[in-house]
Amino acid sequence: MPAVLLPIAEVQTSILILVAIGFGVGVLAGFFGMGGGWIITPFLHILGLPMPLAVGTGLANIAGQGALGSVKHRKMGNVDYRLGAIIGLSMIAGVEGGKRVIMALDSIGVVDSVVRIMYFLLLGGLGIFMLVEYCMEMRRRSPKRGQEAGLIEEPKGQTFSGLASIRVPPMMECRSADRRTSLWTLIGMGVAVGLLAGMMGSGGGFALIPILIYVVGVSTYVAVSTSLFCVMISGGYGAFTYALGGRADLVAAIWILLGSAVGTQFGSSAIRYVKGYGIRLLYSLMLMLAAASVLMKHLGLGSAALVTALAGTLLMCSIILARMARALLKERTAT
Amino acid sequence: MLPPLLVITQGPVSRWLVGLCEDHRLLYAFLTVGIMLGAGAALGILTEKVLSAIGMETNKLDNAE
Repeated sequence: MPAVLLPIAEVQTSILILVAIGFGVGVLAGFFGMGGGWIITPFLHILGLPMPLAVGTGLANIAGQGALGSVKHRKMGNVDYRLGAIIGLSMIAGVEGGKRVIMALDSIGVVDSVVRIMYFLLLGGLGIFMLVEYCMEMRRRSPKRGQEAGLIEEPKGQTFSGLASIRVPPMMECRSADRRTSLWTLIGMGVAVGLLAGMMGSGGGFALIPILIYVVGVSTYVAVSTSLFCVMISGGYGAFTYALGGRADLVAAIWILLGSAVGTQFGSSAIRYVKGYGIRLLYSLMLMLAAASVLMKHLGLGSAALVTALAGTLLMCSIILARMARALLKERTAT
Repeated sequence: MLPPLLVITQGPVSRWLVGLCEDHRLLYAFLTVGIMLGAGAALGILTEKVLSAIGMETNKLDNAE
């Protein structure tokens, strides 16, 4: 396997591993419409990068992915630049705050453990949340059982209704939204998501997309596109500030970006062919596997963690790509 | 405070990057952001062109719904 030296991290690893994880994360990001920074950062840590370096490198990669996605989505006219600039610039404040927290934790020598635990809780929590959501959706789709259980259609975005009702002036009118939102709500959300991104090396798309849909009131397409634009701004700043502290490995970020550039295209193409809610069940299982791999790393089982993280991501991608290939074949034989 | 940076002997690019990161941190930071944003945009355009050339349109954006 061709090896590459990550000069700033002082880690030697395989190019194939970096490209494969980039490809895997790209497929998932393209398919599910959210970035994969929260998979890349723990993965880099599992590869042997200290946590601050993994976070900085993850943010550098996110900046590249944000630029890649923004170029693609700009053409379709779905990016709300004014909204994206407000949230993206607010995220910068959060990212800087997050970086300072990481540096403070680093100086007292607990950064690796704290961020690992945060990742374990985030990935595990998100996995369980998606699993519960999947089970509830399945119950809802079964009319008989739904009637028996007295299930009624739950209004979407109930969690965010409080945020959406804030009416502190100045109120912002976004061209793509169906309601007016307080500027302070947008800034507050940007700072909060940025703080999380700066501490964990993720873009924050998984939080930004639902916020943009339910609080600001934009369509899913605009939310995905605008979130990529925000991520490009915050990731770019994050990469800069971490690199300024010597905590971003450019070589690792580039190899991962190469893989994810190809993977993202496959992922977004797969949407046309791979249907069904069942894929979300697999995604939730993959998230739980990722959480397990972070836990393994925490317990000193580095190799097992690496295999689990890589296997989980690539298995998920293989399923998506295999289903896409099958649907493509079916389509071609039908015509 | 900063992690000790090893001067890597294999590869001039690695050596140059390490030197840049040690001695010209601001330049290294700008280079990192510039390369990542530039590479991302370039790859976005390139992959889009390749895919449209082979007839794989990516006009749907997500699977959230």
